Amino acid sequence: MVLALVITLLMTTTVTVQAKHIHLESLEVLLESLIIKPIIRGLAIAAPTGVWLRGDGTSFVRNFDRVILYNPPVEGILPSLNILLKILFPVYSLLIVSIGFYLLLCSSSPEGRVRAKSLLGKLIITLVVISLSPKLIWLILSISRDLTDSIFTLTSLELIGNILDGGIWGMLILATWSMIPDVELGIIPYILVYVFAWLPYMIISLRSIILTALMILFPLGILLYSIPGLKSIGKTILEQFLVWTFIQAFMALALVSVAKAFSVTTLVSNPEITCLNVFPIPGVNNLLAWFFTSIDLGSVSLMELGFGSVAHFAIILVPIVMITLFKKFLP
Amino acid sequence: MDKKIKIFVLLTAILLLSTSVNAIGALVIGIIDVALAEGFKLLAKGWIVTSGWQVVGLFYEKIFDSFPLLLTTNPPLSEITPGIFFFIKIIAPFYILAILVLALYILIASSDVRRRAKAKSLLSNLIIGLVLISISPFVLGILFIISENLAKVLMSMGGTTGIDVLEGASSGLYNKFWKLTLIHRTGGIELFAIHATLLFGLTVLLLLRHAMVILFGMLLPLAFFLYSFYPTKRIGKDLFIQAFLWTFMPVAWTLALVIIGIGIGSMPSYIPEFYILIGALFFFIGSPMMILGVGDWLAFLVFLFEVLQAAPLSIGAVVIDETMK
Repeated sequence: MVLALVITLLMTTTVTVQAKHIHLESLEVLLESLIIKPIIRGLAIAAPTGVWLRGDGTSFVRNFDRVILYNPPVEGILPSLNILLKILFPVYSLLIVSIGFYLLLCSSSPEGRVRAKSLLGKLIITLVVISLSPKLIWLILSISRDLTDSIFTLTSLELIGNILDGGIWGMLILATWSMIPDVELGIIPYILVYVFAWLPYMIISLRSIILTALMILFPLGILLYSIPGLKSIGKTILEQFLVWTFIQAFMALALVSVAKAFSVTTLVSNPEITCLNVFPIPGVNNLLAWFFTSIDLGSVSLMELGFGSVAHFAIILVPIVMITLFKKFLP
Repeated sequence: MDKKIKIFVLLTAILLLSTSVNAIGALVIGIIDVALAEGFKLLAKGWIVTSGWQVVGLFYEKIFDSFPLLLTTNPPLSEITPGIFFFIKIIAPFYILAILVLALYILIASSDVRRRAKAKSLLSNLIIGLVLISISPFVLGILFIISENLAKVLMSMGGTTGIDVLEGASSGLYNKFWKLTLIHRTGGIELFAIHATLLFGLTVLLLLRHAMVILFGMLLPLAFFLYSFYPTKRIGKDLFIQAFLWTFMPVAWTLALVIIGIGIGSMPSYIPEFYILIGALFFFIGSPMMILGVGDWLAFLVFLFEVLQAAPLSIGAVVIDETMK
């Protein structure tokens, strides 16, 4: 009896010890490639991105009209503008006095005198314009803002918002679909999610920064524009100020155009991709379906994804097109 | 035999049996394990391949079905005219003001004959511009009719063959992707990235054209207005050219499809078909730049170089290279 017990114990120990050393590669592959890593990709990459998109990620989508309509406040640049004006007024006085001396003492030729008189006239006019520059800047910004606001009335803002929303969520759905089996497969759409979320803000912030700088330089631009030798520099400053101001109107126009194109374009077949059937395992699939529907991540059609991407790209491309087209337009 | 010896023999036999059973079991388990592991690896690769197919084959490639429709139609004018009239309303007061000021200048201020002549020429330009602005929806309508008819004629000349070639190129890229993936799970990723990006780019370009036609169509009155004044003449001209180019881009595309359809049949048989198809796909994407001069040739060549140089550096190529060795 005792002997039988000892034998059984020995055998059990051997099997257990041996079992502990068993290295099942198949189990590893199954867990790694088909269960654990896909779940981790879904829950640690795609799902947090989805949660982020519900909040900050779609901030531009929710506020695009307000963001595009935003202009840097003129009050904010007044201190800097006043400093520049304080520097410019003595320069003006010096220039006017120099022309006066030139007219009185130096110039003998009628042509020179005519040119000096013309320059004097220009300087006096620009002096008035410069002293009014804060009002003038405010006026130009208001015209641009009102024009942009009117352009937005050409279509429904809700439709534009839906198109932008479709683009960014569509990219995430596509990224999720592709990255669950292999993360590299979905890397491009995943990068595009961030491009769509950040780049419009970056472009609009860039506009605000450049516009602020150009608003400060505006009086200097007017002064330089009136002096023959420095006209080209003044012209560039004024032209850039006008172009960067009216970029908002063209951004609005681009979005309106995309919305109109979206409402009239039809595709012969408009396939959909849904991230609910990402997993080949039904149980996980249901779990994922519940999770993603709870964060509004459903399906996207080719039209929604295409036009959503076009809308985002349009915001990014508009400044480039504007700067390329609108140059050297001042006389 | 002694009882103790019997027990000892039995014990030894049991131990030997258990050891051999364990050894055989381990062998069997090992074989099953390897088979299962390879099976699961294949399943994982299959999953990558099917996901890839869902993205390119069942999603992006469906844009080819809409090619004839997208290339032979323009957005309806009824969608653009509100925008055109919006800009006419903004521009018209400036026009009237400019004409009034110029007329007053001719009548009262100018005594110089040259300046009067110049002012009169500008006045006539303004009047022509005003007429053009008021008929700008019709001008756009005529451009649309010409573009649509040309595209339809070209499409009927063998455009569908060209579309089949492009689909063939896409299928070829997918075939290379899944074969490379079966060799190594990340082997075809770069090829997939290029494939998906090309199809995505194509979709975006086709849809962008519709948006751009609407945008530059709405800006047509502004183009005529700016063209009327000497300092802004170039901008007006550029705006009109943009409206013209985006409207006639489908003509360039359908022409490219016809060229592809004709050219594909005359290619020497010793060139592998896949490379010809890929060449056709790149030609189609670059055709508006080549035919209409949209964008920059150099930029397109740089883009082409970037895409082509990425392919040999892909993991897939390295894997194949290593396997062949």
